[in-house]
Amino acid sequence: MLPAAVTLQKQGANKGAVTSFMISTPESGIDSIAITYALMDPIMTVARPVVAFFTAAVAGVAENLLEKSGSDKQVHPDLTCPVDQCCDGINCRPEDHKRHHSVAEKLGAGVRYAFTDFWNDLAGWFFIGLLAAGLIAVLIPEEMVKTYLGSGLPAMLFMLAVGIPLYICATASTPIAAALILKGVSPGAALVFLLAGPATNVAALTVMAGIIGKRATAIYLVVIAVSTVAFGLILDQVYSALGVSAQAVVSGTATNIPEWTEMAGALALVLLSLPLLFRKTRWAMRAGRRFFGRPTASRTDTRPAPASPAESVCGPT
Amino acid sequence: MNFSVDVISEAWLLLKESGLYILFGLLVSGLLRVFLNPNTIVRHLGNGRFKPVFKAALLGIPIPL
Repeated sequence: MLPAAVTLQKQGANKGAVTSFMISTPESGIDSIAITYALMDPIMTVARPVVAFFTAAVAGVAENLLEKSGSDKQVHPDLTCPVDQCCDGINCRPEDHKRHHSVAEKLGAGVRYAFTDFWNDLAGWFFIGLLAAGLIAVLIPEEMVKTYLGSGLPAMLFMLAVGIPLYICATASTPIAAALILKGVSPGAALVFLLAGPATNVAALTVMAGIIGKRATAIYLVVIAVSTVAFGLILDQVYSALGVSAQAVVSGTATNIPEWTEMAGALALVLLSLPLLFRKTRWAMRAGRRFFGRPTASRTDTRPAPASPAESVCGPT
Repeated sequence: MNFSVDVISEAWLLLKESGLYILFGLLVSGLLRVFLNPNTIVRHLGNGRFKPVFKAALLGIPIPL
C-alpha cells in the first residue's frame, strides 16, 4: 500500500489525505468485505468498513490540524492507462484516452488482473491466514481465551499489541479473527485485530516515517490505537444490546449455498494458485542452487523474478 | 500427524466457506482497478484542507491494496 501513498503524495495530495488513504485502503477492500460476510456475520461486515472510514478520517483531519501549513501544491495525477499502459495520460488527455479502449477490453483487463496479478499477490498471505486460523482452532483451548482474552479493555489492548507490529493483510486476517471469535474472543477485540493488523506493521511504520515524517507517523499510530479500541468497545455494546452472540453466529454459518458450489469455489481458488506455487518452487530451487554455489544455467535468465511477498498488495513496501 | 490433519481440515473448511465470496471479491476488485485506478485517485480528491481527507477515506474503503 505504501507505493500508492508515495504516488499520492508526489501527485500533490496533502498529508492528511495521504494518511487517510493509507488507513482506509489496507483496512478495508471489496475482497475483505466479501470474505468477512462469508466467515463472520452481517454486523461485522458493516462495522469493518465503517470504522475504517472513521479512523481514516479522524487521522487525516488530526494530521492536517496539527500540521502548520497546508501545502497548496499543484496536483499532478498519474494517468497512465490501466488497461495496457498504452499511454501515460500526459500527451493524451483522459477525454481522448476514453476512446482508446472499448468497455469489453476494459472488462477483460479487469478480469485478467483479478485472477492473475491480484490473486498472486494475495494468495500466499491468504493461505498463511487459513493455516493460522486452523492452528488457533486446534491448539488454543477455549477456557484459556475465556479466562484471559474474553472481552473488555484488556482483550482489546492485547489485540492491539499483536496487531500493530504484525504483518498481515485484511483478507488474510479475516479467517484468523473468525477462529478467535469461535474460541470466545469478543467481536470488539476481533475488530481491533482486523483493523490494527492490516493498517500497521513494523516495516511499514519505518518506511512511513520516511514518507510523511516521524511526527505524522506518531499521529497515525495514536489515532489508530485509540480509534480501534474505542470502536471495539462500542461494537461489543452493540452486540450485547442486540442480544447477538458473535460466537454462535460465526459457528452457525449454515449458509444456504449448496455443498457442491462451495467445493467448486474452493477448488477454483486452489487451481488459480497453482501457477504461483510452481513459480515460487522454481524460484526457490534456483535460489537454493545459487546459494550452494553450483553454476546456474549457462544463459542468463532475464525474466524478472516473481514478486516477493514483500511487494505484495498486503506488503509494507 | 493427526495434528497436521486437524489443522489442514480446519483450514479447508474455512476455504470452502469463503471460496465463492473471495472469487466475487477478486472480480470486483479487478474491475475497480481498471475503472478507478489508485494512481489516479488524486484527481478525484480536489483541493482544500479537509475535503480531500474525507474523499480519500471514502475512496480507500472499496479499494484493496
